[in-house]
This record gives sequence, structure tokens and C-alpha cells, in this order.
Amino acid sequence: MRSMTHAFHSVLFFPFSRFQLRFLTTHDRQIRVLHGSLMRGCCSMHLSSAFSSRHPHVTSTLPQLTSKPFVRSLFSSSSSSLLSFEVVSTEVSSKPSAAMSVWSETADNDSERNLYPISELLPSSAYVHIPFCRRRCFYCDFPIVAVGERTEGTSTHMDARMANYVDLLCREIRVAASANPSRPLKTLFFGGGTPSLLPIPLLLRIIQALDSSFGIAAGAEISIEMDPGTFDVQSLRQTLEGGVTRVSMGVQSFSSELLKACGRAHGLNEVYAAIDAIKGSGLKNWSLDLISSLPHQTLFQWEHSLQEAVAAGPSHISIYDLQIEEGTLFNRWYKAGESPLPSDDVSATFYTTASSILTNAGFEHYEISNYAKEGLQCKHNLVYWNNLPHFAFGLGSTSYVDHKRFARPRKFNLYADFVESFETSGGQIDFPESSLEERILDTVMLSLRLATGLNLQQFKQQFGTTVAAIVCKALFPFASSGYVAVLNANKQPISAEILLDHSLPLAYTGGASLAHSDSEVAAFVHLTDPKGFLLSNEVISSIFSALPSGSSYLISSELLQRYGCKRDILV
Amino acid sequence: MVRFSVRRTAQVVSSIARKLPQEALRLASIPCMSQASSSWEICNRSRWKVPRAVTSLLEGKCRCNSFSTVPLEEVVVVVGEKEERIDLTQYPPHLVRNFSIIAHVDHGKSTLADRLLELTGTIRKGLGQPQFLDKLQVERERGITVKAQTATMFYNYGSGGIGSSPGRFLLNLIDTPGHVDFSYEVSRSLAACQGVLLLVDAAQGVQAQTVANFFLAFEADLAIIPVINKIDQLNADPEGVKTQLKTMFDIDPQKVLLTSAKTGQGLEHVLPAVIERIPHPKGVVNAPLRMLLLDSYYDEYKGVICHVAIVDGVLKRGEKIESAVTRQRYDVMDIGILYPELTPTGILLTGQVGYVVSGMRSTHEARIGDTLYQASMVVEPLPGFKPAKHMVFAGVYPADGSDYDALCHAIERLTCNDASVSVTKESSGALGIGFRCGFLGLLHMDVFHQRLEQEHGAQVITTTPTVPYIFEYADGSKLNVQNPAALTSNSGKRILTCWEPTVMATIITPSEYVGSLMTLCSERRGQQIEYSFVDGQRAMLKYRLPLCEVVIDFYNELKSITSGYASFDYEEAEYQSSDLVKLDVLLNGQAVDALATIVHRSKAHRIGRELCDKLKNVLDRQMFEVAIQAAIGSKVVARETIPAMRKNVLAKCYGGDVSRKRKLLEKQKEGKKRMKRVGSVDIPQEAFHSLLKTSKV
Repeated sequence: MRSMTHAFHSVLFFPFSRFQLRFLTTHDRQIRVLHGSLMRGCCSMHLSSAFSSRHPHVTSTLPQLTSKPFVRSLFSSSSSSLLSFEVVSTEVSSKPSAAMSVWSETADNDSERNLYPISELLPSSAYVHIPFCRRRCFYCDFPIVAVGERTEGTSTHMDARMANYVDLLCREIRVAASANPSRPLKTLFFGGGTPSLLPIPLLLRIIQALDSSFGIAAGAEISIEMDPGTFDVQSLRQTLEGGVTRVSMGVQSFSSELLKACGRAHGLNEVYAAIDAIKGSGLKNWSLDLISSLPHQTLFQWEHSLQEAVAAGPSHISIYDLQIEEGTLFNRWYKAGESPLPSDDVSATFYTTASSILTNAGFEHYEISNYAKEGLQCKHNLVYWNNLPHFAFGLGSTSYVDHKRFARPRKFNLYADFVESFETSGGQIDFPESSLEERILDTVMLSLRLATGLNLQQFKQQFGTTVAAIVCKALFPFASSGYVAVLNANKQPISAEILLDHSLPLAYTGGASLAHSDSEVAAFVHLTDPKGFLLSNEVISSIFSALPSGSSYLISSELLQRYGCKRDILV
Repeated sequence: MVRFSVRRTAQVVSSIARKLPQEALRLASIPCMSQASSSWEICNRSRWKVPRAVTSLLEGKCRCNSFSTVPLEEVVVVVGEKEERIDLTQYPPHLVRNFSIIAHVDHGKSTLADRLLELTGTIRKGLGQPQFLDKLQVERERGITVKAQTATMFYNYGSGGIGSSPGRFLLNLIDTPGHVDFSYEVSRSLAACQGVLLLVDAAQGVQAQTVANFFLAFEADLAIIPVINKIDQLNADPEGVKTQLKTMFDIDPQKVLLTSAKTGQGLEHVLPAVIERIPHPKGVVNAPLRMLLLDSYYDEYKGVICHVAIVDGVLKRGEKIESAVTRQRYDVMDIGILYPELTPTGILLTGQVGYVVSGMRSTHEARIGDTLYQASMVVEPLPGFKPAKHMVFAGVYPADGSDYDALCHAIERLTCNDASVSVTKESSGALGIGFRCGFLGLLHMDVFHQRLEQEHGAQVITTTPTVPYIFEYADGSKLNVQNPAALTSNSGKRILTCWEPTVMATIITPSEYVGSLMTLCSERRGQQIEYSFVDGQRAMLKYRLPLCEVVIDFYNELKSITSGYASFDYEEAEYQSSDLVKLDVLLNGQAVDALATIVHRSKAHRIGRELCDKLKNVLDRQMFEVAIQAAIGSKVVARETIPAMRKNVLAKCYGGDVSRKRKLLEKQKEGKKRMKRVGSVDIPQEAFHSLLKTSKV
């Protein structure tokens, strides 16, 4: 292979066999690591020649691309004919770096089950931020633009402003699509702000742009947030005809005093009118948001809100415990846990009340603050909680593509500048990838929000047995005191003590552990409802503090052993 | 004299030839292997030393004696004194005066010292930092003097007053700390003096430490020159102060000097008075060498530097000396005077005060008060001083358990410079491995803590200070308790008597506060010894107080009762028997050793309740209910309960939130890492700090 002479300096991407293959190389210091690992599985020359003979075009692109990746590979394969490795790059200047790379010479079926087809790691979700609101609620710190009420006088100006924003959005969507490999979108979420303030033709333009750029899969979930007082049955029908399949309505409270107290732009009448409109439209898949622990809120008020919410007949309810965010008016007026905000104990009662009322009403408590009728969970939000990649477009939105969690500017002008430079750079985002450490923490934090919890087997495969063992050990005290439940692969509860066995990394080397039958192996851990959910921060931060931080991942002895290489090569 | 080497490049060589201009500052030094007697080794840590040498070279404070190239691409530069050698042989004892300034805190000692140094041209006016002798960062920040410092001055005495002929005199000024914690430094300094300037603030008049320090000097039979300072103040009352001095110390008002160190008024009379009224050192010039070790500190580059006063005989560079205590022998590698920086002279004669570098490895070898003499000579050791007495003990622990080694290193280095701290290893169930340190007082402890953090970057937790108790058992055994945790409640032995240290406190106060001060003292289990009047408005109280009642918060209380008008000083007194009990603090039934205290039985209930209440406010809610109890033995005297944590959840988490939420949780994690765990209960570090800060016994 020609490039052997000047080493590899690039990140490549091309289809190979049934998998899409990303092959990553590095500076010559790290390439020895790769070679070292490859040679244990088969022969590096073999690999190279296989590439160059079948894909001669690859070598020709090499010299133009430069990168300085930081290699940390998790090399997990057994058969000599199969290699799979994960390579993480923190600094890439030319091309998106490799995420999970798979190389198979024979691609025999036996071995495939261990591998991640690359397509699963491509984003198939998108979030679109519509920042316009009539006014800013007192608790809100979102990137929004308050536009006031629509009147004869303001209408034209408002339309122009929104059209201008939608132009920017569409430009960003097109560039992102051209620069990133993707699949047709399976979930799409219009959040805000108040997306229902957007005139329907503009909304349709965005959907159109997404469809032509990425494609929208058949049966995709397309959600939109709507506020009472911003739509009627007519406009809702038009929205649904435009492709939207799900509505999330921000009611927040069924008490008019509380609506006023948090600065909502609508009253109670608008709420009931909006519920009637949704019922009138025939939409079944819709969600209703409530906020608990508002100032002066009583348990009686809260129960009433919950009952009214259930009576409205949504398929999904989100219950958010009020968080006092910096820079909000609430932050200026109130302090969490102190009067007139309910005390922590009262807030906890609100939470457990919600959990029991909604569960009795047939909702499944599938995430810390979300409840759904069976099969009607929010697929888009599950993408976040499963830590899967997703696109995001618009002011202040955060995308997670190529392991880069990138937040767009929150100021209108800066966002416009960003779109400008995004276009000129051809869709490049100059932003570091999440480190391995951040990915571990994100996975723990997000999956424990879900009722299904953390999939230990998958976690171990992704991050290694040492890390999994630390997590198991940190979870044990919570499991034995009933904050965390441990399940086997058949989702049957098993004793917390099992976690202790797992905290010995050597005894826990694979799915078919030596000491245990399958039913005695912890496959999932999840927080209990409501006790564990209520203290999720405590549990998660305990795991965080048990995990090593910073560069210690790089030089974990486990990795070194796997590669049989010296410390200085890796660092 | 600095000898340093730098890498040789064409540029460097020419730079050195031009007396090393600024570019050379960037050059790193290389260890210099050879070690001549008049130079010291620069190791590669000393990067800053070279720039300093270069700077003084540029400022003309010293000169480049030679530079030469040696193999290995190095240039060796020897920077030395300007050829203005000081010939100490011209100053026989009768031209030498050793004196000190004593005063109550803040009466202006350090400022007066600055003025005297300026007046004699030892330091240039307006150059350098004010309060020249306060070198430590903590001294500058707090405006206090912690270490005694010495400076040599030369003064042309012209007027030829009574008993002294005109001529050039050598004066050694020994600045002393004012705070009561450091009074032992004062007595140490006085041992090298023949006289003192007794400085009194013209507005504040005689204060408690004025009294204490006067008697220190008086008992040491030193000549006392009374100086009333700050006479430029609006409310200055020099006549009133003169009267006080007369009534209290029987000082002749005629002999009192009036000065203002700030404006310079009256300063011209100070040094002539020193020469006229203070006797010269009484040493014997021809006798074998005897010198008193006054102080020592550790210099990273030179090793231990000892301050000495030559009592008899002569000391020359290159001689061998021996310690009367350790019998160790040392080569005198460098000697000189503090002018006010170390200035080599090669010789020190009878009556002079200077420094000696002798290759001691740690200040522990340099026992303060030791007599040094010529090796293999037989001499009578000098009286020496009482060793520093540790009044307060506290545990010092690394904030993060893994930093033990770093703390160990920091303490080792700090005690090199502050030998008055005693250090022993100890371990605590709550705090891990750490040290039990003995201090001269609370301020000393605070200063130590601050120096650890500032100068050595150590993060530490200091436990509640305790005084040393003695427990006497029925079987005749005695236990010295420096750490309450060491006292087991059920050792099987019956306690016969408990002894606690006491102090003799002197309080000088405007008379209207006498009533409330008496209440305070009796609350603190004090016993009145004396009650007299200083003048029409001010009274002096003498009380015998248990030390433990004084170390914590007494001074603050006294200041707040009297709006800051009372002054306070104490000296150590004997132990007294007392009904003492150990008060344990239990969290969920588990004793927290670091929070145990020894208290008087009559106060145990109240203190127990206060401790529990305080802990309740600083402990975070845990996953379970936490019972806080204070107990004497198995008897619980106070209890508080912290209910279990019920809610700690981040409600919403959407795509854009992920990084932010993770950071919030990571912050929470950092908090967790700083927690100390006792049983299953996490105690935040702040808990130890806040208990210490607000302790009111």
C-alpha cells in the first residue's frame, strides 16, 4: 500500500461488504498501537493489502486529509478472521472521525452479532427549534424570542421575522444533510419556544426541507409543541395534514392563579379550548405537560391538576418538577425549597402523588418525568435518553452527531453568523468530540432516567468490564436499600448481592459467566419508582464519583493489557 | 554571593559580558557541581534565584566577580558583593549595641524599625516594601509580625553625650512579634539584647502586652528606653501616657522620648539614646568562643541559617563549631551580618549578632537557645531559654485523603521554618491519616494553617483545637491528652484527678466595662487575682483562667464586650484539678473521633446541645435519617435529628440539556468526593470548618 511509506493521516469512510467501514489512522506514534492490535487478530499487511486492492481510490485521498486523532481503541474480538475496533478521535480537522469501525474479512454470520452495523450509529432523528413565544414565562431560561401577541399591526413584521428564521433553518438543514451521512428521519421534533405560533406554510417549508435533504421515513414520529391559545381545531387539522403525527401541549397547570403566577401567556379557558380542539381533530397521540412545585402550590391544587390532565385524555403526560434556573425571574424571586416554593418534602409528595395517580390511570412511568399509555412513548425523546445521535437545527439547539455534542448560539445574530460559516465550511463543525469519560457519564446519567434502566451487558461491551464493575459496585448500596432494582436478562428481579459479584471484573468476563447461570446475571439496573427516581441525582452522582476521571481512562491497565503495548505509546 | 551556571550559547556569553542584561533572565540554571566554601549549590529547582542574582547585578547591588566557561557548554558566573567589605573588627564591643523594640500589638514596632533602617541608610527610603522585616505573606496580609527578625545598622554617633564618645557604632535591631501567642519569641530576642525600646501608643496608652513585655525586659535586667509613638495623632495624649508609665513602671517622665514613626518627628533622638543609655555587650573578647543560637530558618538554597549572638570570643569562617546540646560538629561555611539581607563578613566578634551557615540539614538540629562553641573546646553552656510551650493542639488533615504525601511534605518544609510547631502523626476514623500539631496559641495555629495553604498550596482540615490535659488514674498512671479522641471512656481504670492548664490573664480596660468583663471571666470559670486602676479611667484585672476557656473565642468576646477598648495578655500558669469529661459526638450511634472534645462537666450539656444544633445546620440530608447525639460515656446529653433526603432529581432532560445536566451532576460528585465518611454518614469538610469557626464554649 502506497500510503505505508508516509503512514496514514486520515479518517476514511467507504462501504465495505455488508458494513460501512470507517478506517482510521493516526500519527505515526499512535499507528503502532493500531498495528499492535491488528496484528494480534490477524496481519496488518494483510489488512492493508486487502484495502488497497479492493479500494484503490482510498489511497489517493490520503494525502489531502490530515488529522491528529487521539487513539483509544477498544479492541474486542476473538476470531482470527475478524477484527472490530473502536477508535476515538478528539481532534480532526478535515473529515468527521471514525466512531465504531468494523472490519471483517469474511463477514461470516457467526461473528456478526458482536458488531455494530455502522448504520445504527447514523442519526435518524432531528430536533428543530422554533424560538418564538408571545412572552417569556417566569421560570424559562430557554433560547426564545418574545414576539408579543399577534395583532393587525404586528402581523406583517412577525411573519417577515419568522420567514427569515425559517430561511436560516432550511439553509442549515441542507448543509448538514450534504456533509453528514444519514438515514431517513424516523423522529422529528419541533420544540420551542412555541412552534404553534409559526404560520403553517412556514412549518410545512421546514418539513419539506428535511424531507428533501434527509428523507422522512414512512411512519416517522413528527411531534410539535403547541401552547393553548395559539391554535384551533382548524389550524391543528392543517398541521396534521402537513405530516405532524404527535402534539405536545404545554398546559403546566389547571389552576388559573398558578398559570398567572408563572407568567403563562394563556389562561384556563384557553387550556380547555385547546383540549377540545385536539379532541375535535381526532388526534390520539398527544401529550400534556404539567409543572409541579410552583410557588404557593398546594397538594390539593396539584391533585386537581393531575385529575384534570387525566380527564383530558392524552396518551402521554410529562410532569416537570420546577427547577429554578439562573437568569430567570423565578431565580430572582424565589429560592428552591423555601417558601413560597414548596419544601423538598412537599415536592417529593407531589412527585409520588403524580406517580400513583397516573399509574392508576393506566399510564406507564417510563422516564423520570414522563408517563405514557402503552406503546405511545415519545420516540424522539427516547433517542436522547438512549444517548443516540441526532441532528438539531435552530437557535440554541444541541445536536449529537459524530460524537460531537454541539450547542448552537443562543443569540439570534450569532446563530445567523453560525449558519453563514457552516455553509462556507461545507458543513464542518469545529468542535471536540465527547471524550470517552463524557460518554460513559452520559450513558449512565441518561439511561438511569428510563424505567428500563441501564443495560449492563451493552454497557460492558461498550466501555469494558472495569468500568462496568465500578458502576455495579457503586450501585450496590442503593440496590440493597431499595432505590435501585436489579434484573436478569429475562427482566426478572434478582438479588442486589449479584452486583457485588459483578464488581469483581475478573469474575465477570462475559455474558456466559463461569459462576452464574443466565438467570443469575445482572442484565439491567433501574431506579425504582418513585423512591429511586426521586433521588436519581444522588444515585447518579455517586456513580460519577466512583468512576475514575480524566485521562485515567486512557491508560487503564485493562486497555494496555489488551494491546500488549507500553504506556507511552498510548499517551 | 551567588554562583550560577547557564547554558553556553554565543548570545549568552556576550550577554554575560555585558553584565547579563534582561534576556538572561529566561535562562534556566543547571546544577553546579562544585561547591566552593563561599558559594552554594544551585539546584535546578532554583530557577528564580538566578534572575534575582542577575537583577541585583543589574541594579549594581553586587558585581560579577568572574565568569568562565567550563566543559559541558556551561558558563559559570560568580556574582559577589561589591568590594565595599564590611570590616567588623573595627567594632569592638563598646561600639556595639544590641536592642529590641517591645510594644503592644499595633503600637508601631515594625514601622519604627523601618524608619530606623532608613535613618541609618540600611534600606533606602521609599524603596522596597514597608514593614521591611515582615517578610512572610501572612505577616503582610494580617499586618502582624510572626517571626522575630534581625537587622544590623551602622550609625555615626556625633554628639558625644554622656559616657559615649563619638564614632561609628554597630547597632543590631531585633524586631519582635507583638501578639501574645508569640511572646516566647519576644523573650528569645531579649536574650540577645542589652536594652529595649518600650514603645507605647500616645493615644492608646499602656496596654496589657505593654505590661507583659515590660516585665519580661525588666526581669531580664535590660535597659529600658520608653518611647511614646504616634504623637501626631489627633487624640494623642503623651502627658497622660507619661503619667501611666510613671505610676505603673516607675519610669521617669523626663526620660521618655516622643516620636512619630509616621512623620519622622523625634526620631533623631532615638538612636543617640540607644547608644547613650543601653550598655554595650558584656562579653569577653579573649575568651573561647561562645555563642547563643537565637533563631534558625531553612533556606532552600543555603540550608539552615542560624541567627546567633556572639557572647564571648570570635567566630571566623572555616572554623569548626560544636553544639552543646547535640554535640554535633559543623563547619562554618558562611558567616555575616543581616544588613538587612545576608551580608557575608567572614568574621563575627564578641557582642555582635549575625548569621551562620553551617551545613545543618534541618532546623531541628538547630535548637533555639543552644550554645555553640569552638569544636573540642570545653566551655560553660549559656543559660538558654525555656523551650516553647505548646498551648493548643489540633489535628491537621489533608482535605482530600489522597493528598497525604503532599501535606506531609508541606508540613515538613514549613516546620523547617517554624520550629515552634510540634508535629506527630495521628489517624482519625473520620479524616484518615494526618498530624496532631501543637501550637503556641490560636493565632499561631491560624497562621500555620494559612502558611500551609499560601506557601505550600496544601488544602487542609483543622480539627477543633484542644489544650493539653493530664488524666491521673487510680493505679497511679498518668495520661497526657493532646487529642480528646485518645481518651477512652471505659479504659477500665478509674480516673482519680483531671488536670487542666491555666493561664494568668492580664486585662486592661476602660473602667465602665469592668462589670461585664468580670461576668465574662466568671462564666469562663476564672478566678480573680487582682483588680487595680492604671489611672482614673482604666482598670487592670488579673484573672486565673483555664486555658481551654481562653483559647477559643475569649479574645473576640472580650473585644466585642468592650468595643475593642480592652487589651489582653496572658502567661502560662500551673495546672489545676478540674471536673472534666469527654464529650463524644455520635452520628447514627457512631462516634466521630474528630469531633470529640473535653469539657468541664458543668458545661457539657450546654456545649452538647450547641454542637448538635450546629451540626444539624451544616450536615446535608442523607438518604436516611441521621441522629446527631452528644454523649458523655454512654449517657446521651443532647440529640438532634436530620430527616432523610426525599428529593434530589433533575426533572427535565431533553437533548440540549445533556451536557448541562452532566456538569451539574459532576459538580455534585465533586462535593461528594470532598465528603468525609463516618459509618454511613457523609460529613462535608465545611462542617469541620464551621464548627471550628463558631465554637463558643
